[in-house]
Amino acid sequence: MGTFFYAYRYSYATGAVYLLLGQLLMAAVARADQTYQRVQVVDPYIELHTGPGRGFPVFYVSERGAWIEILLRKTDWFKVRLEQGKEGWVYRAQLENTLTESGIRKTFRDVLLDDYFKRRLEFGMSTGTFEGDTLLGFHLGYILTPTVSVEVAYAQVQGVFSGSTLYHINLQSQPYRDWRLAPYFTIGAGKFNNVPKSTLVSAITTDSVAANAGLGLRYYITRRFIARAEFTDYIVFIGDNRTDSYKSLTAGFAFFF
Amino acid sequence: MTKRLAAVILISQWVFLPECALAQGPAEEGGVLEQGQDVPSTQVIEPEIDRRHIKIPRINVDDLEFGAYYGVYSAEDFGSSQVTGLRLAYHVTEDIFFEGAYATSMVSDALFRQILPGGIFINQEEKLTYYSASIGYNFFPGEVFITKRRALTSAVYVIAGMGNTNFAQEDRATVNFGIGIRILPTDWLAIHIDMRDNIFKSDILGTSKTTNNFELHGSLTVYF
Repeated sequence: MGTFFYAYRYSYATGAVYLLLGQLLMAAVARADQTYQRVQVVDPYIELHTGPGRGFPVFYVSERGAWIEILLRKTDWFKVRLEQGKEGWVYRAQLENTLTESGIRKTFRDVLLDDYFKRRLEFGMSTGTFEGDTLLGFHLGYILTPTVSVEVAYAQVQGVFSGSTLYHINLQSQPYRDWRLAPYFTIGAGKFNNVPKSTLVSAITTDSVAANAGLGLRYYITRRFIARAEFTDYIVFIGDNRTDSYKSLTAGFAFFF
Repeated sequence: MTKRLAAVILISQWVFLPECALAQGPAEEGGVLEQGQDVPSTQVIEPEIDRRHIKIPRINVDDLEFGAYYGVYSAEDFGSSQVTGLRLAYHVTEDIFFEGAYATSMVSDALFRQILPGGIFINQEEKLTYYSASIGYNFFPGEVFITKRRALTSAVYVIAGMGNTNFAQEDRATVNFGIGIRILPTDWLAIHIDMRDNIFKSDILGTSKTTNNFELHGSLTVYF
């Protein structure tokens, strides 16, 4: 027991999150008595699976005309409750032909290419080379206008002799935004921080302002997935009369909301 | 000059005149209504049915999973220690999910200090933290029968990703892969048991080498 508490001594943040986790648990319990959406089955029948996945067996079949309550959604599976109280998981496609209480067809459509063009937020990660070293990057983008978005990027580079961290705010222009495979251009500014390995003697830590310009390609794969590849040139203002240029080539994926 | 002034006045009239007309509009209409020639003064049909206000309850979507884990982290050459971490997962489809994790552990060089009094680290215990972004694939979805009548949803998944490990005050690019099992006692609660291998290059013992740092942990997560 002593060792168990010892583990917490150095992570107050973890403690705070355990508290949050507890609250989430309580919220989950509290939502037990809510009202649910009711729909009427129009397909000849719907199949109730024991779990949210195609591998789970069908244990019950409900016929056309039955009223069902939708309790929960997990990815493409809906947990439904029949009038006699039976609960099971139904695939989205089987619910596409259902009517709401007002007699209107309920849509359970998939995420489409159209949603991709209307996306607002994009989050992704990428990896690649930064002057021969491995780069791992994350980005969060917000689409301001149909062709302009703003992006916050964080990247970490691990080299043999030093490690670098890059923080950037970029403006991104995507002139052909309704293309499935579309090029984009970025310019931005940020910070470049380079820390040499402690095993190196008398090496200097660099912490400078940096600018970057890039050219990339974005491809909408399916659902919420996007593939991205980018070539970026970083210009680091090391001193009054010295700038360094670093090039990176990365590829990664992103998903949008 | 006068021509230009005239043009400005003319344009401003174009702009403002319709506005004035609009402002007078309702007043004139009111005047017409007061005369009451065609418009009846009382409403003929009294609606008796209230408009139906249909408020469709929102469907709760539980594609996000958040939780904490606790287990053993075995830093190569330095023995094993406790690890505590947090994980956030986004389930994109029934098969694929993305997971971000952050964990912390304390690694000790006590064994080295038995023969090397100075030790390897600056302090006997060095903090190790890592973060990772991974993709998981549920490849054995199924059910676990705990009693004759009760079955829990479960899945065995493989997971792989990239991240960073900060160990002995230095960052190291880390690749991780592993296998895990997820059991759901209820729809919103999950228990995981995970095995991971965290691979990174380390030169703490003089030469640079690839280290395999195995990890075994159990976690409790909540879907929301």
